[in-house]
Amino acid sequence: MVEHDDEEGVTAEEQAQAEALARALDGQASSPDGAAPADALETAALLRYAAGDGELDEGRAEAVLDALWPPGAQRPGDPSSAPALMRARARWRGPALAAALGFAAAAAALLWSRPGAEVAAPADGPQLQAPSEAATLPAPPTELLRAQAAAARDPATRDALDTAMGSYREAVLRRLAAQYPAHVGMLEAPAPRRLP
Amino acid sequence: MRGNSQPPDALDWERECLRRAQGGDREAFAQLYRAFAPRLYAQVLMPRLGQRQAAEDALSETFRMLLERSADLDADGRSLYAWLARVATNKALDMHRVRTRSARALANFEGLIAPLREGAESADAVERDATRGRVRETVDQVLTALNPRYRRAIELRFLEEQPRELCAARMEVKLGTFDVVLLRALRAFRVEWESRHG
Repeated sequence: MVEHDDEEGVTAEEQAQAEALARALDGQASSPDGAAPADALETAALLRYAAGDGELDEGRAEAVLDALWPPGAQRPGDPSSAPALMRARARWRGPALAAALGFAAAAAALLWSRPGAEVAAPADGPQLQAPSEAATLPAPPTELLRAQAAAARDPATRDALDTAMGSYREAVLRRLAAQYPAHVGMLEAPAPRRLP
Repeated sequence: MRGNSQPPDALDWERECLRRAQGGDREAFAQLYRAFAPRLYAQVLMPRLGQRQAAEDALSETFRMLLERSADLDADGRSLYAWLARVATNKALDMHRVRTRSARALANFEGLIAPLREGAESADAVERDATRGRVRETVDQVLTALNPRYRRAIELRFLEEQPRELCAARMEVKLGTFDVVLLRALRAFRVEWESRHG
């Protein structure tokens, strides 16, 4: 090995920078000790650009295109495409479920905590007993989720959401009434409609 | 060739491709992609990111944005390239913001090549190639002005794309010494470059 003038006077800091630069140029993550010096890294990127990195490789370009929009697939981001619809449903499933559960919890709390409800029951009438099984609430229908998604995009469609929510509310009430028939009259709510 | 100021038929072609792509025509989208992706990559993304993989990721994100926002684009008489270039620039900036977390060694050398551009960043392929031609020419001139060992280190590592172990062997120095020589060579190159185009 031959020593040259340009190799003299190397400080520990410069050596560390040189090693960090070497790692960065090899595509390795920077070490906790320090990142590669920006001035040298930028100059190296310029040289690589001039040497050919500035050109988008045709094969890589087509691979990026295929990943973006696979051949034969529907347009990504199309609201009517199946994946987009599933994502929209997934986005609303949580809030809709939470709303339904909240609604059910409120209804149940009202039923069970109504002051004097049990006292007011006639002595010769049917005694209130907890049902053997808790009611299973209906899942929010697709129409409701669609209406919620549409209302989120366009407030002008809220009427449709109200209609869909009203239908769902009725379905929940019907289910609760079927499971807790003794409480329906005490709530003085309209008689539940006959289930279809 | 489609630049920022386009003849009406070129703009019509862009709008027609965009309209068909919105309707689910992948080939129309592919035509737009093939027309603009190489220019975005060479003129906007690589100079700001300095790394192939990062530039490809940003390119993909830029065209994903086009797919998602195409219905909202205004037909304001300008080429789609202007919108794409703005999105790509923002994507590059976002990548720099998360650079520490992503541990990517990104490098923005746009400032070094900006003086070699004639006018604004162009979508024009002729201007793009001319810029790269001027960059290569200037690289050659600057290398000629360097200390021969610095020039050799740069040529081996970046123009011949040799691994550093081989570079060190070819220069008959230890690996650690080669790393230092290369660092000094790059700094000397930059000083010379900026003295010409600072």
